Amino acid sequence: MKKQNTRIILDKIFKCLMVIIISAVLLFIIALLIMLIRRSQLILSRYTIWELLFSSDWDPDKGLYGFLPAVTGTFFVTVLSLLIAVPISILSAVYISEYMPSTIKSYFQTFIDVLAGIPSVVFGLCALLVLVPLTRDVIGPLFGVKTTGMCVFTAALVLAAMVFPVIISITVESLGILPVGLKEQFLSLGATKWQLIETVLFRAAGPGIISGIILGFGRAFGETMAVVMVIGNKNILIPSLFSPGQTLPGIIVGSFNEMMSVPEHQSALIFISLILFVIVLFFNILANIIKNRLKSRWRYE
Amino acid sequence: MKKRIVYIFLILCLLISILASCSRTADKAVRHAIRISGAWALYPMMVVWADEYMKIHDIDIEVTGGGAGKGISDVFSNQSDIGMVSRPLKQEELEQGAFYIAVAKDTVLAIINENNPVYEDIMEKGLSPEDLRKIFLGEVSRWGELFNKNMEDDEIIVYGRADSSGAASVWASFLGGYTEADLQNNSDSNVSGDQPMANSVQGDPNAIGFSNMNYVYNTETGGYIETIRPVPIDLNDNDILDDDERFYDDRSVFLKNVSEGKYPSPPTREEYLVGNGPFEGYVKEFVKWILEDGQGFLEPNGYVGLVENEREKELEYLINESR
Repeated sequence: MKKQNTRIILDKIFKCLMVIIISAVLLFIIALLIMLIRRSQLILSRYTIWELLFSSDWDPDKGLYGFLPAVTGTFFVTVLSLLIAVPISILSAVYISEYMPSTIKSYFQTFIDVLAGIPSVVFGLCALLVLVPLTRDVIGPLFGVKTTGMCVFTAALVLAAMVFPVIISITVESLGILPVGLKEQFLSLGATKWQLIETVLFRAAGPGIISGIILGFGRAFGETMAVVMVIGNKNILIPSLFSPGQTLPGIIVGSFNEMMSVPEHQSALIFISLILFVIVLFFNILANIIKNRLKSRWRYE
Repeated sequence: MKKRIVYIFLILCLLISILASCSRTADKAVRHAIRISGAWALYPMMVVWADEYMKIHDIDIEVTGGGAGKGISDVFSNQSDIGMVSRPLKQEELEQGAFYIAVAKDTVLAIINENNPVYEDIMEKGLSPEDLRKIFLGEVSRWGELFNKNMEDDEIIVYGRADSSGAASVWASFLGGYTEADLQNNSDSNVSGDQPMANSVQGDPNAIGFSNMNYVYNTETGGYIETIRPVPIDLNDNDILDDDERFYDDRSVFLKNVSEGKYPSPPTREEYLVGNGPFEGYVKEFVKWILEDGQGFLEPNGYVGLVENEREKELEYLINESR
């Protein structure tokens, strides 16, 4: 009897503990949001949100805080990197899960997981040493453009390399959990493997693949170091692929330490973090909604 | 049994940490400590000053970097006693009660590559401040234009600084009251830090950038670093470098001319120590020592000393606790 009691008490204690921990995590996110909003008050009291978001003049020394170049730059680089990364990673994921012999497969998957764990500074350094000269001396002249190599295109390439592993591993996983019966039924009708992939697998694994892409988007969007090192950090509306641009995290890293003692400038930088926070939150929620919608539409059972 | 060992171990740990904290507080009551943080530009110098000062005084000095803004914020929040700042203080910072003393000078030079298409002309004739302004604001785009030559493959590639830096703001004000953002927005590319800037100029014969003196001259040999060359400034704009405008060959000669004011200011800039209100007590003593004996360590470490009358003025500000 006594033993029974301690067992139940222990159960309750752990349940309480877990509730406390999970609410602490939630509270932390809410506190972060509140802190960001409060610290952005100063800049928001002097300029309207529209002025900040839709002006393209950035010169804090003259009191001009236009985030438009950085906002568009961030989206431009992210979308461009996904355009490069998505087709490549989906095709490689299909190859890994459907064609690759299972003996090599596990090694290959480990390799991709390792790729996902490489710190972004390493990607940035490699890009600075290899991609920047490559863009300057080979790819730029190929398109007939003069470029320093530090440009939106190079940044998108690095980001694409960083996004591959995310999309590949999630796609491989969502292809892997499909029931074998689904494939066998279709193959028994005389379909080729590619027909199977095209008509059945992409549909069945669709929600998983899409949430992988959106997670990749999140990773690319918030990426700081690797991009800052190669994008050229110029606050202009990007005129071409081979011109330098600016990203939101780039502005923060570039001047926070130097300018945190100037209240208005600091507040502007914190407002940028708030924008980043809200956008990433928005895309995560969007990813969930899309995933659930697709799941109910593309039912295969 | 295992549990007991764990308990004993934990209790021991607790005891040791209590003892350790006791001894530290006891220690602190006797020894003063000065906490310094801020600009990376002044950090190496401050480390030398702190070492020398600790040799002759019974005091602890902790020096950390973090950037000028962090230095000032730390001072305001009493997390450090002295903030190092390598740019002029902003009005907003002075309004919050920042008190500053200039302790050293540093200078910024335009840098080009040894293989520049008009290298000979630049070294012979220099570039006037107006030429430099046109280059950095993108009003001329070819090296040949500057010397009325028709050349090929001579597009000027202008590099700027992506991060907020004293070097960029002082260079922008030398060009004629511009801001860091003006430089950033008119460059071909921006990089973070002096070293990446140096690498970019080394990697591109058509490049021009600007950099702190220590990334142009080798501190030990006094010669240039690799393929980086300083741009001589033709101050009177007579299209030739006069004898008193030729002092770029060697670091010590250049330093002498900077401290004599023959190299313009800006881009020569002052580096400041900042306090939350005037310095007091042992912190004041340390700053005073920097302005007196400490000045001797500046040149060997690649900084420029204050001129005598400037130094006296700063001492006066320090002692009177106002400026």
